[in-house]
Amino acid sequence: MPAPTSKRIRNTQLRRHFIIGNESYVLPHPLFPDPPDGHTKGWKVYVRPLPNGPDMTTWLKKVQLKLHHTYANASRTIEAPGPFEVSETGYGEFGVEIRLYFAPESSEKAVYREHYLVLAPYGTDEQKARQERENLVVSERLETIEFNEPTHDFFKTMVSEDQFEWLKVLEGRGKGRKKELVFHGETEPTAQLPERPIAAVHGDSGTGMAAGGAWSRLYERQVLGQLQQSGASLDQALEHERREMESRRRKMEELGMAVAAK
Amino acid sequence: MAGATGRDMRDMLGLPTEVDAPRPPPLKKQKTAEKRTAERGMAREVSALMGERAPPVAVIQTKPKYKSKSQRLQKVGKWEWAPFENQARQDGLVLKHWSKRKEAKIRPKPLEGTDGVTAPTDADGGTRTEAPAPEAPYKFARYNVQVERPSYTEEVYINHLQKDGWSKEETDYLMDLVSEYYQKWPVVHDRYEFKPSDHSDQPKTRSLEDLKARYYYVSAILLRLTTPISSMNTAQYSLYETLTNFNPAEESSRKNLAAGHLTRTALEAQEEELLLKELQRIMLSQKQMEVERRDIRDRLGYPPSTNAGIAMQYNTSAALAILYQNLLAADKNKRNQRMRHTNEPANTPASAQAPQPASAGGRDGSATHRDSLSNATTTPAGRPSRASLPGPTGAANDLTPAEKARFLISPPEKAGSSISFGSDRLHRLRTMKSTTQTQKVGAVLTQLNIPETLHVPSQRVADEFEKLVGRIGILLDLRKNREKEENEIAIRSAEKQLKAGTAAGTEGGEREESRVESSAPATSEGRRSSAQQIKLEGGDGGNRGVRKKRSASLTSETSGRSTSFKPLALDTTFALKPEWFEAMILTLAQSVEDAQIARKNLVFQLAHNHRIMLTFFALVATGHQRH
Repeated sequence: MPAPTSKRIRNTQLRRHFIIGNESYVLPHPLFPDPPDGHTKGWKVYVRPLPNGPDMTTWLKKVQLKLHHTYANASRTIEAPGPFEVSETGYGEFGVEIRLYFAPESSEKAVYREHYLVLAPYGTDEQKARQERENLVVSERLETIEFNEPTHDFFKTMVSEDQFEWLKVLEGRGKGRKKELVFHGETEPTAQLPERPIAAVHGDSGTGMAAGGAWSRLYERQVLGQLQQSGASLDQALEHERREMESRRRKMEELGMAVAAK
Repeated sequence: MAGATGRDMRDMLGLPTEVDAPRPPPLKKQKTAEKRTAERGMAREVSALMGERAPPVAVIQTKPKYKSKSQRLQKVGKWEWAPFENQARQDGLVLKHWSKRKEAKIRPKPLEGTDGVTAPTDADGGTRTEAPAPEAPYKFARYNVQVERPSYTEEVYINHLQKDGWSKEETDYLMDLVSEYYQKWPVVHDRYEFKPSDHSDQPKTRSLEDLKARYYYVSAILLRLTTPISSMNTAQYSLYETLTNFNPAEESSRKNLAAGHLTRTALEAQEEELLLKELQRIMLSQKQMEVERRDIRDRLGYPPSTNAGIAMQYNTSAALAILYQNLLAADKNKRNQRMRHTNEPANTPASAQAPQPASAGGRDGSATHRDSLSNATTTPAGRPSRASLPGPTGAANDLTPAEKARFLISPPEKAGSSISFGSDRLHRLRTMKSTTQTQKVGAVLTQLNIPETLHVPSQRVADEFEKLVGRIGILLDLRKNREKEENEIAIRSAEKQLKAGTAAGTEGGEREESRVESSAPATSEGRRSSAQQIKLEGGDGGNRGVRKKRSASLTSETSGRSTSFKPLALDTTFALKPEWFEAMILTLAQSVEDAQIARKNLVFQLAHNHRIMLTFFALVATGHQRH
C-alpha cells in the first residue's frame, strides 16, 4: 500500500490561475427553454481554467456548488472532466458557495470559495448599457490557487506536458504518420496569464470575455497601472505630510526655545 | 420604769396572781432584747427610749480616735521674704519673694548685708543662718535669651547695606523690632508700623517675607564683612548660605500652598489625585511616544535629528557589520523570494548537466519549438531561458526557470500552509490588527480609487499592492503624528502667550486665546471641541463652566486612554480667567515633550486659589529660568 502522503517538496509553490464567475441572461433566452414562472433571469455559474492554460482537472477533481436553499438540489456536484458549471434560472442574487476538491495525489483538503451571483447590470453607465444591449451580464474573478509544498506525485502531474493536451488538436501530419496532438493557435500554452486577451479556443460562448479571455497580462498591466497611479497620488500625500512635518518641527523648535527663554 | 409586767397589771387590777405554769412560753422569747444591756456610751434610759430592738443602723458613737501626731522628720524650714534682683532687667528693679533660708551647721559670719537683708537668729539651736547670697543669680535670669543683633555703623550702612526701598531709618526700626521681639516674625510683622520721618512717603506695608528678606540680607552682609567667606568655618558658612538663599517669593508661595492645602475640600483632594494619576500616565507613555515618534521619522528617511540620533551608534565598523548581518537575517526571514535568485544558478547548471535522452521524436520537435518560443517568454527571474529539457525522471526541483514560469512554480510565501489563494493575500494585506486601522486603510484606498476587490490577484499585483498598503501605513502614521505635533505646538504657543499674558493682563490672555484657537487648525477633534467650548463658555466667566470644559476636553483628549472623570460642578466663586485654564488644560492633557512643564502645570491645577494661581505662574517662570 503506497504511503498516503508522499514526501513534500520544500520551498516550492505551485500556482494556477482559474476563473470563477457567472453569466446571466434576461429571459427568455434560447439557452434556457421553458423557465418556471417568476424567474426573470437565467444564469450559469462556473469554474473555468484560463483559455490558454493547462487543464484544470490535473489538480481539480470535483467541484460542489451550493446554491440558495430555495433551489431543489441546492448542492450541485460536478466531477472532472465536465465543465464545472451549473445553469439555472432565477430572480434573486445570492452567494454561491463553491467547494473545490483536489486531486488525490495532492492530499489536500477541500477549500471553499464564495462567489456572489450577479444578475443585474452593473458598473458605469456605458458598461450597463452594453450589458443590456448584449443581454449578457458577466461577473468573473480571476483566482490564483497556490499549492505550497506540494507532494512529489502532485508536482509531477503538475509539470507534465499532458496538461496542455486539451488545447491541442489531433492532427495528422501527413500520410503515413500517426496522428498527433499539435497545438494550434497563436500563443504558446502556459500556466501564466496570456499576453493578450484571447478568444476561447473551443468557442463555446462566443464572446471572448465570457470564455475567460479577458484575463490577460494586458489586464494585469492595467490593474498594475492603476495601482501605480494610486501609488503616485499616495506619494504626493506623503510628500505633503513630510513637508508639513518639517515645518512643524522647525516651529516646535523655535517655540521650545521661546518657552525656555521666558 | 421598765415595762409594766404582767404581775404589776394583775396587781393593779386585783386579779389573782398567775400560776407559774403558763409562764414558760414567754420565757422562750429572747428577753435580752428587752433588757438592753447598756450599750457603751449610752445611758440606760436613753437606750430604753429607743425601744426594745436595736435600730437597724446602730448609730453608736464610739470613742473617738485621734490621729497620732505626725512625725516630723525634719525641722520646719524657715522661709523669709527676701528681695532679689533680676539680672535680665536693666533698670535694677528690686522685688521681694519668699525664699527658703538655707541652714548650715557651721557658718561663717554672714557677709555684709548690702541690700538690707536681715538675718534673724534662729530660735532653736542658735545656729547662724543666712539669706541666699545676694550675688547668686536669679535662677530665671538665664532664660533671657537675647538675639544677637546685627549692628552696623553709618558708614557700614552706606557702603554695603543700602537697598532700594529701604531707608536707614526703616532698617534700624526693623532691627529694633526684631531684637525686641526675639526674632518672632509673626509678632514683628504684626507690630511693624513704620512711619517715615519725612511724611511725604506713605508708610509701606511690608509683608513678612519682605522683612525677613531685609533682615537676612543685612545679617548676611555683616557676617561676610566680619569674617570673609574664605575664612568662615562650616557652621558660619552654612548660616551665610541660608541667609543669602532666602527667597521671599518662594516662601510666600509655599505658605500659601500650605494654607491652600489646609483649606481644600475633599472634592478638591480627589480631583488632585486623579490629575496626578493622569500625569503619571502621561509620564509613562511619554517615553513610548518618543520612541514612536522617532520611529516614524526614521521610517521616512527623515533627516536625522540634530543631537546625535540613531545613526551615531553605527559609526564603528564592527557596529556596521553587525547591522549588516541583522538586516540580512531580517530580509531572509521576510521574503525569501528575493534571496532565492542566488540559488537559481545552482539549479540551472545542475539541470543543464543532466542530459536527458529524448524519448520520442515528436518530443524533440516540439521541444525545440517550445524552446525557441520559451526564449521569448519572460521568466520571473528575468533571466534568459535555458534550452534544456526537463527530465521526466529528474528531481522535482530540477526545472529550468522557463519551465517554472510555465507551470508557475516559485518559492512559497508561508512555509507549511498547504493551500492558499491569491485573492486571500490581497485581502490580508488590507486588514490590519485593529478594526479602526482597517477602516482607515479602507478609507484611504477608496480615496485612491482602488476597488474593494482587485480582479487579478497575480503575484505582481499582490506585490504592488503590498507596497501600496505599506505606504498607506506610513501615511496614516504620519497623520497621527501630525495631530500630536500640532497639538503640542498649540500648547507651546499657548504657554508662550500665557507667560506674556500674565504680565500683560486680560488682553494678553485674550490674545493668547485667539492665537491658541488659530494656531491649531480644526483638524484634530479635541482641539475643536475645546475651542468650541471656549466660545460657548466665554460668556460664563464663572468657574463652573470652565471646569466642565476642562474635564470634558480632558475626556476627549484622553479618549484613547481609560480615564474619563465626570465634570466636577464645583461652585467656586473665584474669578479665574478661562483662558488661563484653557492653557492649563492643554498643557496638562497634551504636553508630553517637556515633562517638567507638565509637572509644573499640574501643580497649577492643584492650587485653586486665585492668589495661588498668580504666585504659581511666577514660580514656573522663575523655575524655567533656573532650569
